[in-house]
Amino acid sequence: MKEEFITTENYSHLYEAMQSLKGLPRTAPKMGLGFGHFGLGKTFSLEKIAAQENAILLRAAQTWTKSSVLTELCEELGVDTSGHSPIKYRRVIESLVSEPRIIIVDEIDALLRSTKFEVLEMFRDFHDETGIVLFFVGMEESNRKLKKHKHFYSRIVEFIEFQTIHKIDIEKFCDLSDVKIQSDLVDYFHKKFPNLRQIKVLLIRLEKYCELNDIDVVDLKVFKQSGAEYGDKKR
Amino acid sequence: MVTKNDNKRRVQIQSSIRQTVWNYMRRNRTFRFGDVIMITGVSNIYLKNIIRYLKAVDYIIEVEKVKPYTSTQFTLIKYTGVKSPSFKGNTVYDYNTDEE
Repeated sequence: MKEEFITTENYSHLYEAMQSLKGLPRTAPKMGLGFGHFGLGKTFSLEKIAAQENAILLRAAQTWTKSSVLTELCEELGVDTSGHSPIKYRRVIESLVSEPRIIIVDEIDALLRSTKFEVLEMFRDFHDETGIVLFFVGMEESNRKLKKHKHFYSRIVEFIEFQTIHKIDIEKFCDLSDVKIQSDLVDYFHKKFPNLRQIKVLLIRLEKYCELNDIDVVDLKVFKQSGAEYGDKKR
Repeated sequence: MVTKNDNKRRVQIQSSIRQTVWNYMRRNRTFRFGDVIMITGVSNIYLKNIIRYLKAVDYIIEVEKVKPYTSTQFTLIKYTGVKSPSFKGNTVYDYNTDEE
């Protein structure tokens, strides 16, 4: 299987949202929110965007405090991490003003409890003071939970809801396989498997089977015969 | 307040390809060879070279060797900081610790 990044519909929407936020004037709110169920390629898409945009990509954790986030941001920005929080805060601001960077916070759900909301407020301060693009990503409920905080929510101008994988994405993915995947099998994958991670495992098993049996083209019938769906144990 | 000293201590983190690869590795401490290629867009040979250097100085270990090689997983066991080490000749220079 070829190792190639698939520009899925979800990724494309995320990328477009990021470009749109980047294009807004300095004084306009530039926050975005991506949300959706697990296994839809959220984190992988974020990694790709972070690599392309040289963005700071952070994964929120339950243990985050304002101080720990400030230290992490200082590290990411290459500025001194010593001193009290107000000093670190100013360093982060100065750095982002002189060299703006996109900040992406994944797993925002960890910050949506009332005890952690002050951390989110701090990100809002960075956004307001420096005009940087700030993008949050979380699970399905994060949109609903954030709505309760109107002053925060009003700054979010791009919303991306991650959708279940489209058939066209599965087709693109299957094109990377060493064997030719017929359309009835693509349809089956689309109907039965909701994410590319699962399909990847199936394709790898299928390729092994095809290599052993000298098969170049696979349809649903061959796929069923191969036992790839259930792995070695249940064959 | 930001002092002059702060500015002096400030270190530019360049957005080089090497840094992009390092960023991916440090964010995903156990990573798949093929995923690094997909995300960063570096060539197979380039990445193999970086892995060779990092393995030699015990920064990363191979978790499991599998076929194809692109599915091989590695773990970054020695994380020294945000800045990517540089590789030259037989030397790895770590800007985080200022050590060779």
